[in-house]
Amino acid sequence: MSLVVALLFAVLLLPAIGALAVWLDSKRTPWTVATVSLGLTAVASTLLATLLILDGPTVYRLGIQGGPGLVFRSDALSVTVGLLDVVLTLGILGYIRTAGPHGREFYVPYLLFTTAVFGVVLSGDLFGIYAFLVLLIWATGRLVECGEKAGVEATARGYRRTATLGASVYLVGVLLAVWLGGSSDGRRLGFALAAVGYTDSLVITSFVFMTVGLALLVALVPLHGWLVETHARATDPVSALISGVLPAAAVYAFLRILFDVFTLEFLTANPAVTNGIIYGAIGSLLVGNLLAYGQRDIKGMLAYSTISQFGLIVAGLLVATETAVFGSVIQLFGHGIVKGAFCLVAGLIAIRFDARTIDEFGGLANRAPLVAAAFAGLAIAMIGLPPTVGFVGKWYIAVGALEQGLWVVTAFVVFSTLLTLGYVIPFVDSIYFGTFDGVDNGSQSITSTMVAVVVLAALLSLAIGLASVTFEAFLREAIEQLVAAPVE
Amino acid sequence: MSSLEAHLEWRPTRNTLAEVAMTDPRPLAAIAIAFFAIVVIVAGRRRPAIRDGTPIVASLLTIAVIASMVPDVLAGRQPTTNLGALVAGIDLSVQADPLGTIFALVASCLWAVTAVYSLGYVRGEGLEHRTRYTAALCLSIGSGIGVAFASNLLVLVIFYELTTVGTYPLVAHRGTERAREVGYEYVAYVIGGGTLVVGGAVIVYTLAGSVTFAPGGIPGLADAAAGAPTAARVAIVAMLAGFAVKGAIMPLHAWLPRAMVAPTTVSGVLHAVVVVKSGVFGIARTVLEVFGPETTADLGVGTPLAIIAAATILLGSLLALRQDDLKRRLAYSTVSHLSYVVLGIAVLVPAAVVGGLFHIAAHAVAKLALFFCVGALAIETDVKKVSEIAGVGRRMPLTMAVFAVGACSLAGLPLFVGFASKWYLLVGGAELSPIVPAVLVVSGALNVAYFWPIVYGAFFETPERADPKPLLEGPMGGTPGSDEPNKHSHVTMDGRWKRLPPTGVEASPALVVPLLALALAIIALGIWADHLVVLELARAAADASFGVIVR
Repeated sequence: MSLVVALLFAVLLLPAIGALAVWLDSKRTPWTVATVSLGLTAVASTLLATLLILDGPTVYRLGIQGGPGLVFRSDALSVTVGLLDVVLTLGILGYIRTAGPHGREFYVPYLLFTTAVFGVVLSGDLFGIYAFLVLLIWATGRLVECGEKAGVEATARGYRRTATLGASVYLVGVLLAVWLGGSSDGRRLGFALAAVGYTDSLVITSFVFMTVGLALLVALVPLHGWLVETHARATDPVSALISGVLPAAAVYAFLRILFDVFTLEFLTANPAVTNGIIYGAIGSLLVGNLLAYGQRDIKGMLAYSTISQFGLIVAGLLVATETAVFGSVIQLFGHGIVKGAFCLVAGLIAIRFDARTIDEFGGLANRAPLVAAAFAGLAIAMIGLPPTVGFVGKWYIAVGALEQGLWVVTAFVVFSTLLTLGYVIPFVDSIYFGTFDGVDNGSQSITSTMVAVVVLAALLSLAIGLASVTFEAFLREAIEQLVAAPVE
Repeated sequence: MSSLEAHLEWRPTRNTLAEVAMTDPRPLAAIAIAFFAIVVIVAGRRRPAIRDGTPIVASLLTIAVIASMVPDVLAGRQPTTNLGALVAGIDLSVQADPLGTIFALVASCLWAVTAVYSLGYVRGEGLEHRTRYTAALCLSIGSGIGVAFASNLLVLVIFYELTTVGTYPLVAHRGTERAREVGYEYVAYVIGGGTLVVGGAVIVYTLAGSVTFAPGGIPGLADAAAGAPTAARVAIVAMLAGFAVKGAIMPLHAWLPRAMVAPTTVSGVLHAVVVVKSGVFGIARTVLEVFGPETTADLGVGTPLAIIAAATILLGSLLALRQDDLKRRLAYSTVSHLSYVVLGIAVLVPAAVVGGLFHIAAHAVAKLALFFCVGALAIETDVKKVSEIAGVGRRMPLTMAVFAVGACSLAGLPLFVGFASKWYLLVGGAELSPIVPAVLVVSGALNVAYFWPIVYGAFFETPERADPKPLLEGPMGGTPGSDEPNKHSHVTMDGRWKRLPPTGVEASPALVVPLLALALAIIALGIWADHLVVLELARAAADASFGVIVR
């Protein structure tokens, strides 16, 4: 077993082992166990990333020779999403150490969430993806239940029902494709489907099923209701995962299916399907942004912003040039960091000032200047002003779309900056220029670690924006292979 | 050979001036000083001496760095700092070229004046949140210098949006309902403009494969524009419209008069030092160094732009006539004068371009002086309206004298800097059409019309014997010798201004000294324009873009 494969299993198993340890040993504080296991996962995934960037993609098949088995396929892209996952879960640990939630009920699903995301991004097998999606949905449901608000159980139930429906629709598509192509290994299935023919109505049907199922898990309009609901109900660190990582995992699965199984040729052969998804995604971008205008509550605003951002990301993927796909990937990563940190800032403010809405945010900057500055910095990144990552992602997507002659996409991507500005500025305005009229639980109510996490994230959004070319160099090979027609 | 043709002598090879880039940390340093100053200000927020002194030191350092580059720039070298790729195909690079150096030099010199004045102003006004205010001022100006030195469109956009980030807290500074509303509107306007520019940049990058400024136009863009004229036209219109928002070109100007709610120092910075200037500067870059004069003309954009600018000049001046609020009157005057710059560029004639670029400096110095006069006036006498101006010259003789100097300059009277820039505009504009000089002459007269009542009222009227203002709404020819008390004045019959000698005791030295420095600059630049680098830089910039030598 090579080092890469060892690391592959390490990132999959380390959080799971951590979860097991938390479950079995109630004496030790689960926080320490989680930190150790996620810290090791972070090291392992960084090493994995380095190796995959240096040596190129890896395929590993686990199972009986000639019999059933599970294929793992990893490249720089999968490890990017994996890194996002582990960076976020590790960062959130800094926040929840004092703020909670505490206890096994939280940490077991928390760690399994991490494993499940790694599973989704490393699987090369469509059933494997399904299995890990189911684990992800279970873990998310448990995490949502850890909230303190009334009715979280109902919210969690509703979420599970909706998400399971999405996963099932995806599964129907997979079953159909496997029936047509005879294999559940993504690449091999891809060749088989090419032989069946991309204009075959059953092939198209299976694609549509998979897409709709995953679109529900990504929370594209009009399938976005669950995200708004869970986002609002869950505790803030859980919202950070729901906004930052959960749709990202589903988008990643979609990316694999799009390019590995169905390939660019499928998109070219079925312009109606392609355009349908592109304009659907653009619609999501617009509607998400517009619905965000009605939100006085910070979490509601963030939820709709997430929906619009994933519209942008999916649109970029469908443009399907190297430039645009890279834009989507860096946007996926940057958005995860920014939105995750934003949820934590919202949590910080709620803990210290009991404030949730625009009006309650009034004048906080005078009392908590650093938190306010982090809020402003993250706001700038979310709006997408240069040189933050939010701008860079849009730039690549816009340039890529224009190269393909999709000027409508370019126009909306550029224009979305202005739409985002419109609903973010009222919060910033209130924080800085409003008058304080609420409770202040004192600066000791939040720890400096919590503040450090969000300030770091704000700086990271700037750093990623400035270092986009380095990212591009790391991801170039993987994206080239992805977008090019597969050869075997 | 007409005298006009004598101004232009064709140069055999093109762009030779601009082709020598030399690696040099100074352009980056010129920008970084202001950003470093922010750190010092925030760190020293509990020590007023550090907080308030830092901008002055930083501005002087910045001037020194920029001034040290001027000889290189004039010798045709371009000090360049390249920090490597920003996004694929575009470098994060800043450079001191003639066009950028004009703007950077003006901004940094006026920053020093502003920094001193600001000290006197915040104390006189009792402004709160001084750390935020001082830091935001540094951010605005530092990013303004970044706009000047940006070597490509994307870097320019970065600093352009940063200017907005810096000025937004300044505009909304007072935190009143109205200030917040205006701040919100300001951001919506200027980020909207910035977004249009980004859209244009995406198209330019797709067409030409580069967004790096090149005098005379980005290589390859002309051919690409010929191949895809619609896309190119969309790009140039988007970029010009985007920059025109900050440049307050009608009909995109509405934010500027409303932003007068900000503290007066901030208004000065908006009007003279960085903000609106970065808008017209962006237009200059777009026309001269992105598309190039030829492609701009080929796309049929030059003449419409000139017409819009001419209309803005006249309408802005006419609207200024009607304003009673001093700051609003100055604001409409700015709207009109910014279009002098745009008109100069849009005419696409070398001499006019020189005039337009020189007017960036000419207008900046004069308008800053006027705003600072109005600020000092408000602090010392609480006079904020033209209708309250009568007799104020007795109380503040030096301030109002400086106001008169600034007004003369903007009206374009000889021996003041405004004449020098206007001369080039007249000479160059005449080459396109006699309408251009006509517009400028009419506008000069309107300038006199809206400034003269202020100067006249301040020095030659008393609160008891004053014409109703604004004059436009009073009876024709005024009401000479009327003994009726002026209804509009808040000063009662017995509330005469105390007569003060012109020795500078009329206000805090922190307010008076910057004013005198500006007046000196207006006159010096007016008399020795040929010897004070700005004009020379403007010529070098026009030379490079047109491939001709402008005398």
